[in-house]
Amino acid sequence: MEIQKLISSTLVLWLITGQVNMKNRFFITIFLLFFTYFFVPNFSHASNILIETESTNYRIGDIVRFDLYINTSGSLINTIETQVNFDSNDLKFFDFGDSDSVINFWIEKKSLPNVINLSGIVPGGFASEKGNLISLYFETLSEGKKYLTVKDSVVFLNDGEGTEEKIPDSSFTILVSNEVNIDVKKGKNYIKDIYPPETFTPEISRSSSLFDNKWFLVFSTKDKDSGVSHYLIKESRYKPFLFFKKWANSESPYILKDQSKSSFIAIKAVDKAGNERIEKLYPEKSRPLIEQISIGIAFGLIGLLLMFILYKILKKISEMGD
Amino acid sequence: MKNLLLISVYLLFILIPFYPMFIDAGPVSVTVSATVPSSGGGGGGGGGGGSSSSDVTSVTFSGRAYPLSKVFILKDGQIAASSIAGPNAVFQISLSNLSEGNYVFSVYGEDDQGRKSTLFTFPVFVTDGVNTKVSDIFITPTIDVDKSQVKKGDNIAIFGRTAPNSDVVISVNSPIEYFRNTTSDGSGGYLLNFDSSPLDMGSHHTKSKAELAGQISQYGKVLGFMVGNENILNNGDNFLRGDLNDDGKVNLVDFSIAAFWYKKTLTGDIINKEVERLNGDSKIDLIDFSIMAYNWTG
Repeated sequence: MEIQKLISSTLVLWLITGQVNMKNRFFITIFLLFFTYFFVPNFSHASNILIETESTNYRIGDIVRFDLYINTSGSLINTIETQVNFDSNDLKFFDFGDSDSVINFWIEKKSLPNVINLSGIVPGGFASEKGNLISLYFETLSEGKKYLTVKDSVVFLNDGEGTEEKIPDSSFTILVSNEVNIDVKKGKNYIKDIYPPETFTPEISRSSSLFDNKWFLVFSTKDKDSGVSHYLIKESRYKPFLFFKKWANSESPYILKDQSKSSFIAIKAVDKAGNERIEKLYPEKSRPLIEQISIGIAFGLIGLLLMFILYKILKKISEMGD
Repeated sequence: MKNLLLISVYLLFILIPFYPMFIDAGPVSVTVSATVPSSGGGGGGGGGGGSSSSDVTSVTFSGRAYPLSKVFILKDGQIAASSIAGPNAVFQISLSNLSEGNYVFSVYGEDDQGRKSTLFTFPVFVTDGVNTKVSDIFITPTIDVDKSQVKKGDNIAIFGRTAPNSDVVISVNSPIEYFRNTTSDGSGGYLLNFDSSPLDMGSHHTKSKAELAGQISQYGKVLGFMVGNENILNNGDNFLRGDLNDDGKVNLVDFSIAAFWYKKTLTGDIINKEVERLNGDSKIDLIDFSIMAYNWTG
């Protein structure tokens, strides 16, 4: 691009200062028009996706981590979509690694046979020469040259209008043999994670555009080491009972079971190493006083019963001691 | 002794059900300390950085917003802290209780009329036990216009808030881009009466940036207006683009709603919402997500 600018500006300068004759001016003008029309768009501010691995040589059964990066070439972008293609007979996909990703929220992060679809946003946009998009973990299945291709990629500028820019396709080749490669660290790299996922703030909301205006809960967090594996939720109208409730697998958005918003809610984020972060939401609405008194009386009666039983037991022990 | 034990057990059972009555509502969030410094920071470019050894892993943000304006810090797209800038527009906010790793932080300001700046976003690698400093942040000016449509030849007032006594550059975009300069007053307010005579009939955009003590902000939000045959006042009830649940914010809730409808045929209320608050092509696609990301408030 810089060479193009240099050539163009030099030629323009010659034309302006009259250092070339009329005949040459005509040809130079034609050249400039041709050059600008056909070549400049191909090189202008194109973002591109880079693929890297720790090594290019692997054995059958090795774990390969493909790291995908984006070079925005100076553009401020806020949305990206890409498609990663591979041959399922050569490579078996088994995990995503997005703990260090610049993508804050994934719209799509889905693996299908031979293809992985990825799209996500960065609120406020970002510009980087090497922004970490995601890591993809594969197991090698057969020997020979194996290809990972990134195609149909687009980015959208952070300009308020969603201006689209295409990204050129790219690919990466690894060689799989039966030879032992001692440089490759087999296994997932997130086993050493001892830290829980980041703190987060779940939010209850509702919209006429979703779930028939029912109250739902949204939540999202990151784990900076191994990445978030899954979320679990439990709800209870009474806080002491929350402890005894079973955790249920869930994902955001989650429709509240208690639509009166009178329940205590606990959301647990679990990372891939099993570390947990629990956030709690307290009821926005307090329960009716009569309900609280009724429950209190019920617990009181149970307490009295237990006290009576305990008293009898202690009395018997005391009598036996005498 | 026996009676004491029995009374304790009884009280325990009696009090357990009433325990929820005595607790405060509200979720737990990140531990944050926010301070408003009394004096202004130094000049510089569009945001600097630094770090120092510390017992606590933290990031400190400082810079200029608008006098007494709200300043919000987003951590990976979600509000992690907020503070109020000082009378001189200077702010400082610290985030602690962070793990080591890469973060995408964003900062934005909100003026006294609820107008928001664009997000200033930057990736930061946070190191364990180090206080990372992000300084010289210059939040973009807010912007508004007095007319949604101006009669060709009449003036349109372009105004907003920035740091006090800043030089403000206002761009009006049409086939030719016009640049005008003005200065903000002591409270950070600026105003430009722009003569619409040179503008073509149709739609135009305006945006502004500020310069103070050698520091230059980025351009702020792009605001549209029309040039036509009559004046139509801007009644100020414009929808916040991307806000799909009418809560005045663009955040994970709106993202979740949009993600639900992504690649699906729109039915019900989302049809009108898409037209009002997204790009109006009757579908939710990546352009809509980009608009949402641009208008994000956390």
